[in-house]
Amino acid sequence: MSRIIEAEKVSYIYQTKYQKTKALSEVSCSFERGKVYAITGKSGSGKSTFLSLLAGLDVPTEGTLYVDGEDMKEMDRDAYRMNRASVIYQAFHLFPLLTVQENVMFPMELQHVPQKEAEARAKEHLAKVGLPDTLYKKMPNMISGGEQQRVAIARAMAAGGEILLADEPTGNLDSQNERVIVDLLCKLAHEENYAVIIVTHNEAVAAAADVVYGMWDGTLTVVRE
Amino acid sequence: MYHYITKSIRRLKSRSILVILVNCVLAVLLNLYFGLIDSYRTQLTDLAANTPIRCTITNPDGTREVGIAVKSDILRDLQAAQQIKELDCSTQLKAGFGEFEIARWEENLNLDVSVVNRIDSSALPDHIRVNYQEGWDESLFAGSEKVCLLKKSDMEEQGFSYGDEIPFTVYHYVYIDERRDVDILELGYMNLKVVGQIDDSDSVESHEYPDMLVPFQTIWDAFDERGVDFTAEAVSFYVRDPLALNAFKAEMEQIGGNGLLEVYKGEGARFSYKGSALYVQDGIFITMAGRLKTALRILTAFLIPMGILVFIIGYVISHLLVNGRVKEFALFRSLGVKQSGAVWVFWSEQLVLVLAGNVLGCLTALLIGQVGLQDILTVCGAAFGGYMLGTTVALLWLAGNRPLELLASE
Ligand SMILES: Nc1ncnc2c1ncn2[C@@H]1O[C@H](COP(=O)(O)OP(=O)(O)OP(=O)(O)O)[C@@H](O)[C@H]1O
Ligand SMILES: [Mg+2]
Repeated sequence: MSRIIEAEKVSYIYQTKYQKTKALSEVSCSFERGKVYAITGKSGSGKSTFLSLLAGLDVPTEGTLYVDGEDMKEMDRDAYRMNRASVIYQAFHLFPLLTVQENVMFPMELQHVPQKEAEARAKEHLAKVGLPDTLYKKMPNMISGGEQQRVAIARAMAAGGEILLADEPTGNLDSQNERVIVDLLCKLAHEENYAVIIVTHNEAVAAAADVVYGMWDGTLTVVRE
Repeated sequence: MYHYITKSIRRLKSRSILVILVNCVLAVLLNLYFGLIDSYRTQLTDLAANTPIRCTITNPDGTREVGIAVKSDILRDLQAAQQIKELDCSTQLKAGFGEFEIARWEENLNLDVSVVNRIDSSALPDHIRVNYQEGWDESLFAGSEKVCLLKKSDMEEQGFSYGDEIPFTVYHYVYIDERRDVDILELGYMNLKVVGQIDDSDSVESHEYPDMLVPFQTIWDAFDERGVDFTAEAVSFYVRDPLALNAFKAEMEQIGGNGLLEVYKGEGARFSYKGSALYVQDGIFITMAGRLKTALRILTAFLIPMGILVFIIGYVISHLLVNGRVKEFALFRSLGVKQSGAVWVFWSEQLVLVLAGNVLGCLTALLIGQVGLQDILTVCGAAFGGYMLGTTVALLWLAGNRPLELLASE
């Protein structure tokens, strides 16, 4: 098994003008390719923060994150986000000015995937997450929350890469759609050798994972390995 | 990325139109503003060209009717002066044909002589008509040739024709006693060639005409030869550049050594000392130019606030628009677009809209047609620069935030 991400005593402090919030304290763990990880924990325990650091959106206040042995601080994190790690955000974060299909195609456009291929891949993934093609030309604010969530999932999967980070990917879905998405994410890890990391409250989703971590007030513990 | 820009311009139609409109109005307003400044400037130069400032040498008490005797050192300095134009000097003499004794002046001294340096001199009646012998013209008055013009009727009576050298006895006036009483003294004999005639066939006007015209310098030279002090009876001229009144006044203070020290303005003339004073008719010009200058000063004082205003409008509008698009910016960053790339997308989007607005503004300004194309381009360039500077500052502020913070801010 090949280790792709390793966290070493990672701490993170949100610093605003008026106050400091310690969101993570000395988190150490590692993630391997080909496995599905679940991170569970109470609201406000630091799960999304940890995921953002894994996505390279910021660097730890203290401690180190290694990607394939390379310190993330020293890395070109823009390139890492564009080509290696895809994120499904808790708040979806779709482009409000792009249609459903354009949203899925956008990361591929940044990667200079030819237009035709990007379109085909977008349609393929939109179909995989179970969205009817009547929605492809709609704007994000014209579709439901669950549909938006699936667009975000399709976008992350279509972008390719080695790491998929998902923040509550099934939070807005019914149990049938939830199964479809969980199967897709598991397949991604087991068949395409991704490291899939899912933040979830959902027992069923956690049960499908190979490894389960628990987050408690900014600290991480192993729940099941 | 290019597609993203075109899509966002199309899909945020009302916002795009707003930006275009604001820039269009801004460009038109700035053009009107600079057009106004321009037109005031032109009015001022036109005023200077069309409202000549006439200056007349007067007695020290401001009177001009009698008693003026402008000394030759003043005349010489005026001839050399840089700040004046159309110098008009004249004096009056008495003369008679041929040579005669002082004792017999009463029957002989019957010619009124006007000595002028230009035919349009204010010493001559307005409508005076003169003819010249071939090869001569009015420029003779500016010269010092020993020539003269006689009344047509006198020439016929005496049987003179062009080219005749005629002897005259010439007398000149001298002011005595407080320079009010006039005496008349003999200057001497001189021969003058007839090269033109004063057409007095129209009997209504001709009684105002002098009997004889002689160039100013010719007579001045004759005085000098005989060692007699020469003075002019009337001197007037125009200020060369009404917009340079200070230079003019400085020069007038040097005229004739002591200067034409008393420079009279308006009617409030007062007696000061024996000599010559200057009456400057600059009242109208100063009032009119003063108003224009004040307006211009106020307008140009707004130049810097206007520049700041354009920048602020660019900044505020961009800031508002940017604030509505933090999420998009954050998404770009989260998908791996570099900071500079993300700034570039929004910046060039604004650029397109601002350019479109400016082009529209230029066209409108051209249609209104107050300002020249080159000025319009300069002005629009400035408006464009100011606005885009505001945009740049707003975007750089946005780019300064970390992607994680941007994603969280909603
Ligand atoms: N942008 C921010 N600025 C300041 N503090 C923040 C910010 N985002 C999160 N926090 C704080 O950091 C801590 C962890 O937040 P985080 O979002 O990681 O929790 P979470 O486990 O994802 O919660 P949930 O399950 O509700 O999504 C919380 O106490 C939160 O208040
Ligand atoms: Mg969260």
